[in-house]
Amino acid sequence: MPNAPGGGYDTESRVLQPFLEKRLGATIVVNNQPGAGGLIGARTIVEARPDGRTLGLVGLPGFTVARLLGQESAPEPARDFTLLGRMSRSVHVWAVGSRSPIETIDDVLSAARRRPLVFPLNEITSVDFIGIAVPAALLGVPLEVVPGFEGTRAIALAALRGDVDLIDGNVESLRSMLVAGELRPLLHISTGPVEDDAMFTGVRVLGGADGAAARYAPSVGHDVVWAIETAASLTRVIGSGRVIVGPRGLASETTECLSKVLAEVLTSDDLRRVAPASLDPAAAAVVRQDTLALPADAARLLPLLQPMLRKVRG
Amino acid sequence: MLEPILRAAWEGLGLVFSWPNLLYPVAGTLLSMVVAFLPGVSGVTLMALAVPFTLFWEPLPVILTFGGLIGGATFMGSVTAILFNVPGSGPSAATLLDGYPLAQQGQAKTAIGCAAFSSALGSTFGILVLVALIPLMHLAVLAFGPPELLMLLLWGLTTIAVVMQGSVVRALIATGIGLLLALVGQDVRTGEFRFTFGTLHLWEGLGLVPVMLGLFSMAEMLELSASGRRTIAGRGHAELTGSVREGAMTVVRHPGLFLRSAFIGTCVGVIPGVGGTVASFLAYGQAVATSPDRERFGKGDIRGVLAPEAAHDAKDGGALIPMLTFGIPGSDGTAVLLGVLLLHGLVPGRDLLTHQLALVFVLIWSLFLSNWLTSILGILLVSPLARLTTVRLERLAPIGLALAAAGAFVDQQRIGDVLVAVLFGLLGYYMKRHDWPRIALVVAFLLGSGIERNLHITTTLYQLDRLDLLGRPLLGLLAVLTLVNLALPSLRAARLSRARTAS
Repeated sequence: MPNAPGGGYDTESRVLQPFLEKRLGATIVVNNQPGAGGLIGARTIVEARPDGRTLGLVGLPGFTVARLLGQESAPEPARDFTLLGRMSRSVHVWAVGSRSPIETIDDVLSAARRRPLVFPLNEITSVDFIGIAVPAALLGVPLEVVPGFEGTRAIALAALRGDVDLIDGNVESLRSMLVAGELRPLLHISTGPVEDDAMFTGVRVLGGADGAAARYAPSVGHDVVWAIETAASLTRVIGSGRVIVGPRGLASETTECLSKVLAEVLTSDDLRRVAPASLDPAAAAVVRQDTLALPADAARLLPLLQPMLRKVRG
Repeated sequence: MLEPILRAAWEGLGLVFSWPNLLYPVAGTLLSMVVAFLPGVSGVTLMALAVPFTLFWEPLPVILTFGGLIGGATFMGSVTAILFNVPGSGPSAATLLDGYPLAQQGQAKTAIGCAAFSSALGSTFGILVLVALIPLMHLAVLAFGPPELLMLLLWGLTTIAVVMQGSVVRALIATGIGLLLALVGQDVRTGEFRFTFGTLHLWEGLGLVPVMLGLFSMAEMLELSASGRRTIAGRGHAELTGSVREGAMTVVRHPGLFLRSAFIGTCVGVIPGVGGTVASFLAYGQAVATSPDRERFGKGDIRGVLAPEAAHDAKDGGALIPMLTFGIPGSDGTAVLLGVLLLHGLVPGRDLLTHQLALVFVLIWSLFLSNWLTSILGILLVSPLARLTTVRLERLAPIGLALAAAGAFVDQQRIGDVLVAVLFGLLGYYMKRHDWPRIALVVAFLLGSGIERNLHITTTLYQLDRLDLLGRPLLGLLAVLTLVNLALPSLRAARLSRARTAS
């Protein structure tokens, strides 16, 4: 477990633990090894003997973004791990505080014509950076980022206080504030209409043929097809989600057995009854092709990030 | 507005103090106390371990149990800080500054008694503020933005000027070293790595717990072994002076100091991401700043135990405010609690605070119960615990060193942190021998990364014309407190010289 006790990763793994123990007849010990943005724990998994006794729950978007922005020590998921099952996908959303004058994505664009919009950010190498910079480039929104905020909580409070214009964040991390109406969603960073989540009824989607990226592409001077594909790449990178992995080189029968058990457990009704809302049975099967395509998807985003990177790093 | 709150409070009280519900917080507290005394498992890890066990329970027993687990974790860390200079966790570190010298003078009972009473009353204060603030929670959490946070941390930094005795130059150098050490790790602005020497271990900077365990605990064990002293207390068990009653009475004798410290603790708890360690050091600094006779601090002044203990337990109530209002945990413990609440379908926010307010009070009352239970049990254990200060050092020092090493490892479960603790142990030993102020280094290190982070955010927002600094009264208040701290040493010196001239 490359994260500290108490976060979403830790909770998800501890929820999974009794179900997996029951189904495998094995004892599972959750060993937290946080640090270096998950790299310390990830390295333990990568270097473990591939005997099926060391598994981990890792976040693929973080590693993909880290590699994209030049951190060679971050693992490349498809190459360095054996992928066994997906715990959840992530979806990001752009939101504003409930008292913000900005109510729609059109308001965002008209506000951006007057002055660059201010976004808070964890770190320049975090997933929220691509969640901000790529859609902004696709929509032609000039922006200023303020890195240094400590986690989604500080970012959300900055929006409520009105210190910043807009925020980007993982839907699950912001869910309670979105449900309570403290935050107002403006843009759903995905490719299709959002049908299964009432909170996003009427909220603009970034990707897809009817999405905001395609609609605003002509006015920004982008090719429509390219804009749709770029939005899809962004959605896949962010959505690659939390995946249960083993070290690379796991024997094929072990891989098959563990993948099968995980697929059963992750889609079981028993788990659904107690699991956090972020658990998505539809995401359970890891599409290996998806993960293999991650570096290419990420590389497509890089040119859109460069201007902001240069500005921040000087 | 008040009536539904009082009704929910009464209902919550009934739910906690009824059979068999009462078993849950009591069991949670006992478990948490036992674990806090064992090297190897931290309070937060214990809470995480409890998550799968409680997965299939109803929400009520889960809340009762976790209230107990949170409340029980804090006090025992202070006991080890007082007895052996080994803070069980970050927040207990300020307690050792005066608690351990008291133990060395054979007054461990007084110090533990004061810590127990002060922390139980402090937590009660935090809970009362929490209850009073239920209708105003939003405002309280939103009042602290990056500029206020920056000023609060700068205020904390200036407590060095107040606490320091001896060479000003040495204090400034130690502060500078502390700030430099805080820079190790990722640059918040550019994402680049500084002073990490190519190791992953230093990417997130040096850990506070291994640094403090090294600087204080390991250094102390080395110093004791070299000193030729036979026991920590320097005397036999029969010669131990001080009593629990005396310690508890200290709190009664200093009501102003207690209230100020508990208030600081609660305020710091309300601000997400600041933490109990800052709360207790701020309270300690405030205790020194507001005492006319400050010379005894650091040498075994009971007020130096009272203040941080009141603050860090008052913080628990405060930390529940952002968690219950916005789902933003104010501490590691409340982060696990938040995950557990969400698992059981309890979503923080207005709904929880109106329609499920009774459950919120169940949490509050079980925390209350747990804090008092810990203190009472702590007091019952005072005598056997104080006896430990009369154990011969050749037996105690190796155990103390092992405990400190284990504590350094347990915090983040990283073996590299043990090495960090050993290196800081050697540094601490050198600083102690040659009279360099370790407290200046620790306070600067503790606050440095927060100061850098918030300085960067504040200046960037200001440049982008997003901050109206004059329209933030809290900022002004904190700035005045900071200036007072800076001016205090000069004012004191001036008063002293006037008094000398007069006499």
